[in-house]
Amino acid sequence: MEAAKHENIKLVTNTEVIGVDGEAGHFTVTLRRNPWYVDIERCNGCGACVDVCPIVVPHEWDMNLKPRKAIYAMFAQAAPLKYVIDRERCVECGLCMQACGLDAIDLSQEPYEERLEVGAIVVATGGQVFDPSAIPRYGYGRQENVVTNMEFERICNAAGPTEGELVRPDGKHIRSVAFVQCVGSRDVNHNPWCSFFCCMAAVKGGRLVMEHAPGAEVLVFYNDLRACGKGFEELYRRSVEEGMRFIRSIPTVYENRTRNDPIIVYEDPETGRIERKEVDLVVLACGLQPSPAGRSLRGLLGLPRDGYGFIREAHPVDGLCETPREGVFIAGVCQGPKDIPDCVTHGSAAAAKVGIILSGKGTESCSDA
Amino acid sequence: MIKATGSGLEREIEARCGERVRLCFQCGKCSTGCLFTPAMDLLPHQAMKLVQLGQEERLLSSRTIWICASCVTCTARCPNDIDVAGVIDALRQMALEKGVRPAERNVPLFHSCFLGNIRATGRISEPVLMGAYKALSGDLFSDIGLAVEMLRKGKIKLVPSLVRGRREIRRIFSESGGKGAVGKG
Ligand SMILES: Cc1cc2nc3c(=O)[nH]c(=O)nc-3n(C[C@H](O)[C@H](O)[C@H](O)COP(=O)(O)OP(=O)(O)OC[C@H]3O[C@@H](n4cnc5c(N)ncnc54)[C@H](O)[C@@H]3O)c2cc1C
Ligand code: SF4
Ligand code: SF4
Ligand code: SF4
Ligand code: SF4
Repeated sequence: MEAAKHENIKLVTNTEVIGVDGEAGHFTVTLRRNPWYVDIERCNGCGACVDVCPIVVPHEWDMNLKPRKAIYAMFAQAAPLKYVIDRERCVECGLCMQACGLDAIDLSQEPYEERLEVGAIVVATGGQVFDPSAIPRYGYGRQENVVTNMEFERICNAAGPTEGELVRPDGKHIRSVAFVQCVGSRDVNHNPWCSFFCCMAAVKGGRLVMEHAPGAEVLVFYNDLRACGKGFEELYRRSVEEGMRFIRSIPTVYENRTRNDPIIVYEDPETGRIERKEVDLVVLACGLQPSPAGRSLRGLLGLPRDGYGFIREAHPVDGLCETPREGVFIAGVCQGPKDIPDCVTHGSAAAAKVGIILSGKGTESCSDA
Repeated sequence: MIKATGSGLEREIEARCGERVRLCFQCGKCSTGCLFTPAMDLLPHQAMKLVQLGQEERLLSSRTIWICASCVTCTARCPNDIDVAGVIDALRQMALEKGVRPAERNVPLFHSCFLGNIRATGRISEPVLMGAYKALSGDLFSDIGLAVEMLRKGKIKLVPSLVRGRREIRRIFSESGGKGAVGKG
């Protein structure tokens, strides 16, 4: 939001990069500007159109846990906060046009190409969350009350489908949650790497549950708990003291024949035996992996991939933002799994390297410096 | 890849079945998938830990190595691609070779009756197998009701049949000779 207001920052949204030519200092980027079907210069984000639109579909942003209209804003903090029409769903009834006092709706918009002259490029395409239906023993997709960490984020969010109330998909208030760690990660059959953020994201999620629903039971089923970094080990210990239970056993999730409460099968650390436990909600700590959108942009820019499909950095220690293509930099999860602080650091470093290019000094000088 | 530089037992297991138990990081996925744990004295991942620690005696005298049904659920789940069922099989072979008294006496007995039957006729005959097993185990009447029912429904043939390739079968036995349960059968 703040970035969008900065005088030196121009946001080009709803746009695909379809070509990149030139070299450091003088790139020509070809863009495909996709239509909003709303004139975003006119739209002031009042939302009158949304109220009248008759088409209701599941909202992707809320992991399909909440509906949206065919004309919608992706989420309340979207930048710019303007409305867009999903033309695949829109039935062209025209009600939004009548409702809009600013005459901003324009169903005749077409995609068009645009060229941008830029001195440097930073790729920050992120990654994608592992799809847990690839591992049937966790019950995802077959059991309503087994959700991904991404879905859980929405359940906890004050602006989410439950307005922050801890309610599971079938409507019951949540009194016990089992977090299952390393889903798809650290597994040679899926993603062999550690996804880095998910242990601490579970600790954070567990704390949210304890705050929202005092007395609720929070169980974290983990492999090794990775709480590296400033303050994280302390947060983990404090959580243990405050009653969060950490159980070192990656469980199987059985379906409950009589109730909607998933059954966790795990090794009880106290008895050393396999035990079963019913919980209200299971949250799967799905890891991060390279995304198809990131892959196509990587291909377009001719950047190399590492053994896993993330973009390969120029050097694992002193070339973490650079790529073999001078003037093209990388930041965030597109280079490998990270948490937000590390992404921000990475992004800031990339911006500094861009500054060197734009000042006309080239990348050589930065390694000499 | 992590090198298997651990206990002597780890190296012996690797030599026998190629599996590197050193890779096990104790996630417990094998154990939470195994359907036979209620009858086991060591959970599969505990057995892997004991291999890493070189606790041969505890393993070879455990009930787990005989209770394991080789269903390979554990193997399919292991995130480090360890053939857990194969490791347990290697432990069974070691127990037989070293003459460790099986904690579940009847399981190896059943295996050897089964293989003895195959060796003789090339095909399992339920009455022969059950007769031999029951005589040796002393457990004569436990499923007699079931046997009567199976006979009535024609599920059990009373006269054993032979297969043609009996000579080949005997050759398989003699070539694999002396290894594990088969050799002693
Ligand atoms: C469930 C969950 C919980 C998490 N919780 C925490 C937490 O508590 N704390 C923490 O520090 N980290 C957490 N993380 C990790 C954090 O989300 C990531 O580290 C961070 O979002 C990565 O930032 P990024 O900018 O690299 O990528 P992203 O945030 O993924 O952003 C990439 C953007 O690029 C866009 N894009 C992709 N391809 C293209 C293309 N070809 N053209 C144009 N745009 C494109 C995408 O649409 C996206 O908007 C969590 C992650 C998940 C999945
Ligand atoms: S024209 Fe399309 S977006 Fe507008 S109200 Fe009708 S269905 Fe909704
Ligand atoms: S951060 Fe934790 S949950 Fe995520 S892959 Fe690594 S060990 Fe597993
Ligand atoms: S192979 Fe043995 S240990 Fe593995 S799951 Fe089956 S019974 Fe359990
Ligand atoms: S599944 Fe594999 S790595 Fe996990 S405890 Fe079992 S043997 Fe070890």
